[in-house]
Amino acid sequence: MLPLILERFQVSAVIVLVAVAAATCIAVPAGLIAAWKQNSALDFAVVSSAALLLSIPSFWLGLLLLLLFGLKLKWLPVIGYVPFSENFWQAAVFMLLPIVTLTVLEIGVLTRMARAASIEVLRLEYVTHARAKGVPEWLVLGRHVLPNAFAPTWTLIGLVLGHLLGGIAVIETVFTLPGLGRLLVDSIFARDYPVVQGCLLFTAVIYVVVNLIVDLCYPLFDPRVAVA
Amino acid sequence: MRWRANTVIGGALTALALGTALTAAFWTPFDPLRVNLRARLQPPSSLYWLGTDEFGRDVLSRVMAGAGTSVVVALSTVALAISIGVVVGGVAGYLRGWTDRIIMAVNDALLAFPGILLALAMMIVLGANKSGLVLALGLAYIPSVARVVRGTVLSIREKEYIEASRVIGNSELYSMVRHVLPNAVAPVAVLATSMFGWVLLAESALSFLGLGVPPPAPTWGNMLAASRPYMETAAWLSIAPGLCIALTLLGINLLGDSLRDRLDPRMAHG
Repeated sequence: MLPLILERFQVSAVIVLVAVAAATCIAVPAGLIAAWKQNSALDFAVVSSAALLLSIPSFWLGLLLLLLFGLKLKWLPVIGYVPFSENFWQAAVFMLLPIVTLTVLEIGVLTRMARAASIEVLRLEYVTHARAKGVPEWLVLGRHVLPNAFAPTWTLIGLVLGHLLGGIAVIETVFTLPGLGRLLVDSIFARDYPVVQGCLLFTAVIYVVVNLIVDLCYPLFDPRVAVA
Repeated sequence: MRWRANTVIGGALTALALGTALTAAFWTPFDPLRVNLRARLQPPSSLYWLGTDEFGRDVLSRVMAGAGTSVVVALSTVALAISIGVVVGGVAGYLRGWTDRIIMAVNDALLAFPGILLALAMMIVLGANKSGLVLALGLAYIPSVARVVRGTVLSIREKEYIEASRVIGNSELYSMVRHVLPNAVAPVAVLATSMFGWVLLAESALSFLGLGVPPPAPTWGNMLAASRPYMETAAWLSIAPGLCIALTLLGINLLGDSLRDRLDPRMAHG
């Protein structure tokens, strides 16, 4: 059973990892800038869009994207899957919409966390000190605020990965991808209990391992945290 | 000022969802289950405001009835998870020692599963129906409630007024129920509000997968699932239920945020 789960897991892992990486790259700068310009119109726009994104169900956004790009504009395929090992570009085309869907949804959670953490750091004395000694504003944000505000966001990324692993079944159903979530749902319908148990156990182990890795990565960007 | 706007918008959207659910219990424009094959896949018109589905059932009536189902499922789930979670977390936090260690070990093991996966697994055992769904989702969300309640109780039980209550001769149970629990209400209320949103989302996701409330009973999730084959010709079928989920969630999230800012200043963001 493990080879089956691993084969399906590759599909889910690619979607989830790329989506989380993309969401982080957008959410952290957005949260930082919103915190920097706190209570401005820009901040309001960022906070409102984050709240909006938090409220959109993944399967609905997926369906709407399919409707727009697949059926109306006909830019992207609606159904199908090619493994990365066979044809990289074709595989990427099939993976694009699911990845975009997950990215858009996770931006909401991560932006809120990045903004809240940045606001806290911006109030601290070393930021005022850096400004007072004439450090240019972009360096204050990049060198002093960003590394310190990133830690809580980084913790959240571990939790988001777990949340995504749980929610991936829905996305894979919308886009008919042969991933781990689809395997789980299919085996539930087929009453194939060993596979169901295997999928659940595998996901739980991955969730725990991911969070362990997240914790072990702390010292990389915050030397004050040492691995004991 | 901005947060007050949040409260108003959030409250209005939540009230709209609850009001629709309540109205649907007594009245819908058409019978949400009545099949009318002559009026299949009608686009929105003055007669059918949101169009009709593949069986000629009125989408507006079904969306309203779906609000009822979703709200009932979400409320019962939150009630179940909170009542068991408060007892479990309260006992663990108040008694401490071995009881706490054993309860929290089991609790943390359950927390290692993402909530919706746990619910998915339990749906196999309980079967895809409304009460099974409530039980599965309720059990899946108990661990997070227990964790929050235990933490709160742990900090409250060290306060002077609890010690005072014990010193004047009140029993442990009395101090717990009369003095500890009322002070733990604020964090639980905040958690319950956001949990209502999670459950609503989880319920529609499970129904979308075909593991929630079974058709023909309408829910927003199974309406979305049923709309997939007709997406190209009848887009209104995919738009109405999804918009309902999104707006209700938006309302609850905004309301939850303002509630958290008011009741729990430590968690306030900015």
